Amino acid sequence: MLHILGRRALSVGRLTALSATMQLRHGLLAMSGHVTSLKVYIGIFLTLMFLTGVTVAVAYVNLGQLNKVVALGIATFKASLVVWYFMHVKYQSRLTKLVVVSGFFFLAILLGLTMVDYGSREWVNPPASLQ
Amino acid sequence: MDAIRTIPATHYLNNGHGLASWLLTKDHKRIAIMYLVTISFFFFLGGLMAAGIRLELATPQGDFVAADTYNKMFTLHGVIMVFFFLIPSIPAVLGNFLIPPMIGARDLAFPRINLLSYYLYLVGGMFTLGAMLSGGVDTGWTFYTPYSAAASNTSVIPTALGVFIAGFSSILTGLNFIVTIHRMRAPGMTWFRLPLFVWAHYATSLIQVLGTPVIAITIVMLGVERAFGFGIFDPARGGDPVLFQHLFWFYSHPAVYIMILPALGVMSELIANFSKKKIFGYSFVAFSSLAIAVFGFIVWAHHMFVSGISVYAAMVFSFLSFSVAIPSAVKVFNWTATLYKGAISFETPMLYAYGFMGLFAIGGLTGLFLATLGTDIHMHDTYFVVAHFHYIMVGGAIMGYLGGLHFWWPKMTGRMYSEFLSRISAILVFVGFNLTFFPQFIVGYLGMPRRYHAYPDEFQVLNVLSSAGASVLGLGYLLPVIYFVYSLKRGEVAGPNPWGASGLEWEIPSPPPTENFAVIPRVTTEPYEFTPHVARERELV
Amino acid sequence: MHAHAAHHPALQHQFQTMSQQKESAVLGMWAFLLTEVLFFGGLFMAYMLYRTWYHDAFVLASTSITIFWGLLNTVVLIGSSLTMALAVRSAQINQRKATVMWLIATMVLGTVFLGVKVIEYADKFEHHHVPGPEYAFIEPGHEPIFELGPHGRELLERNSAESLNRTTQIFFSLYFTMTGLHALHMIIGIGLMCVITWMAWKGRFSSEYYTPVEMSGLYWHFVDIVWIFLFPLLYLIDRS
Ligand SMILES: [Cu+2]
Repeated sequence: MLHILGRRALSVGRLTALSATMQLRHGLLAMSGHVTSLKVYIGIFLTLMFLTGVTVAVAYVNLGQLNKVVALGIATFKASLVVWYFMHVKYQSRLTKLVVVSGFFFLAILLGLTMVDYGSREWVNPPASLQ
Repeated sequence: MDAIRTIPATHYLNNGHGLASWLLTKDHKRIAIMYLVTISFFFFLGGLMAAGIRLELATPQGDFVAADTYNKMFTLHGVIMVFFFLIPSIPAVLGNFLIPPMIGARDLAFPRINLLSYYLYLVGGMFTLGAMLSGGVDTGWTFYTPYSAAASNTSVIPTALGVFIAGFSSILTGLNFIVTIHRMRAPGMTWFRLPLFVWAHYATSLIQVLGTPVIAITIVMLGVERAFGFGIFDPARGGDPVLFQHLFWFYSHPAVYIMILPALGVMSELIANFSKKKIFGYSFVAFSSLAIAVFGFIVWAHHMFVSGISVYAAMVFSFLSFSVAIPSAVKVFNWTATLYKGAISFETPMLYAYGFMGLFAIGGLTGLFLATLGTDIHMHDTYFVVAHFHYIMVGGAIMGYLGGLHFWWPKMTGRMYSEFLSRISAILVFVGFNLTFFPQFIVGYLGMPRRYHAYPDEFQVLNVLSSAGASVLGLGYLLPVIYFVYSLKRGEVAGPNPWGASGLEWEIPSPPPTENFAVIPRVTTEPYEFTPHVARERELV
Repeated sequence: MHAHAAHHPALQHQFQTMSQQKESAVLGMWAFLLTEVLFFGGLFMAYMLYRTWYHDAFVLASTSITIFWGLLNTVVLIGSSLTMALAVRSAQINQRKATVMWLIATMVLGTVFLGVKVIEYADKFEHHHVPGPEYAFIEPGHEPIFELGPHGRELLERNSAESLNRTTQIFFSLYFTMTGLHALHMIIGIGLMCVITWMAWKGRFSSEYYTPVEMSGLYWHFVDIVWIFLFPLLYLIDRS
């Protein structure tokens, strides 16, 4: 009995410290309502406009297979700007960042593994690299 | 001890009377009870369909119902059992009721969304019922195109819409659990002090949030094809019906883990509490849940080995499918190690736990036969597959659900049920289940295809065994309704912790007050510490 | 007034602090957007497959769509993302009227977007570019009704009109499903914003509590992101 009480007292001590850090963490996160300056918002908007122009202009230049890569690259970059600044992920916890990344991770699984099937449909005989 | 065994003056069940106090409640415990009632209704509806199927299959001739009716019966059986019973069962009832008290919270993070999610489930269910009444649907629960999009003249759209709406219920439940587990834990309730039930629900919720939207969009694509004449999967216009299967199974394979993971979580609680031992390898069991959730997303095409996918993709998916066996086996081994030298007792929940371990092992191992390319070609679309997934979904998920329901019933209602009747029912379920589904492994291996209402004479003996088993199983499922309902008024008062179990939920009164905790507890102990004093020492409420 | 002793009127009973409540909302919203990524993901999967399989049909069908409207809508929607961000900012710094104004600006831009979509859809109906029994993309022996791209002639010659009339339907099925669901998301977003604007007008928000504004902002930006991908994928295939 005494033994148990002793251990409890010890862990209560540890707990007070723990809850102090938790309060601190809560306090810090409350500050995460970071106010972005007008300049940044307008800068991002202009960059997005510029990139929209670029993506249309590039569509008229024949780059062969590279056209779609460039189009998707620019779109991804634009989306990242929106996520990072307009959606404040820059100032959010690591957990939020993880959620964003995991969305694209599982999307990549869906697209990638399905294409494993469609990409190898024509392989009646194994490709040279596998023979 | 007797002094403690009283029903508190006010608790969540008598805090507010009348229909509105239930239908508009935001209390996670009341919502859990509403789910319990509704899913039980759907369970018996789905069971009725199963009874019809087994009746038809008692004789080789198609004599009980016509082929069309038979198709509609197995479709509705599948749709109802999968989407309206198994998916919500443990999370929406037990998870809803228990996660807040287990982590030391007053409610889920979003109580209103929790209620919304119940109503979405209800509305979805109504659509499916409507489809039943308007003539049924005959596509099978998988809705494969092009039959579902172009050929079937049954109520495909209402059924699919029902599934779509219930899907959002599932997403919102998962989202609510994720946020609750991240943000609502009481001080001192670290991730590694969480009950394994909570870990399992966390993993389940990830699948609900990540997988369900894919079936939702698949249903939308099927819907626009059927309703507006669009052509996304339509082979006549160059579409690929196999794409439908890819998207469908991207959700529906992980969906099996939505059903089984919570049951695995229940098992961890039952095994620790009825052997009065710390779970062996806590962190391995916890992380194996996450591993199952993630691996579950990379194996789906094992359902499509004979659908025309490339041989190379089949090899990749076959190999990946084996990987899921690892975390599943980790759990079973850890439970076994927990039982070793434990103070094991054999109350009803533990009988279910034992039944679960055996059936889950058989279900899992026969899954490996089907993940193997060569054997799958022989057994695909036979009763072997039917037996396999029923061992997982009925032998696993429903045994887990019933075990959990028996374990936490005294917490939910404050009263004990008849131990004698409940043991009989647990035994009936186990025996009836094996009698129903074990013969199906054999008859499937011998080549009896699934989804036909007639079959060659030589399969009759095994089918009669199966139908006989189904009636025993049905009895086993009906008995709990009787003794549970009886216990509500006449059951012995349970007290806060009738099992001497560990966990925060056992330290509050049974039934718990609406707020769960008057004062938010501070957690100082590790999970599954069975010191006899722990429960009495903590000053709560 | 310090955060813990006095309860903010917007603090719900299940939470201990305002920051806990806010963090929960933020995580919940992001988890919801995660769901949305995979929801649209199924459509992107179908798009990817069929664009690989039916390259020529996708090029021809894409050139039949007018870039101008898509470009205009891109500008409008990114603009609405800016006004939305400014609405959240105004709420953060306690500027009630500015919040309301920026929210209204966002709704107006959103409505303009939808209006343009109506024009585009009407055009598609008029020219029988909507998949189904009425569908007609190329009439054998006739010039197409839209301006061909630089490779258009070549593509028309190497594919039969019959096969193009089949496979371009897949493009348009995806076009309507993708833009239709996107538009539906915008309608929901505008509906949401009506409520938020009314709440902002009533002075429900302050620098201490502006979570609903922020949440609808996250949703709106997500809808913007979907369009940022849809625009090049649907309007800009092989224009060179
Ligand atoms: Cu599977």
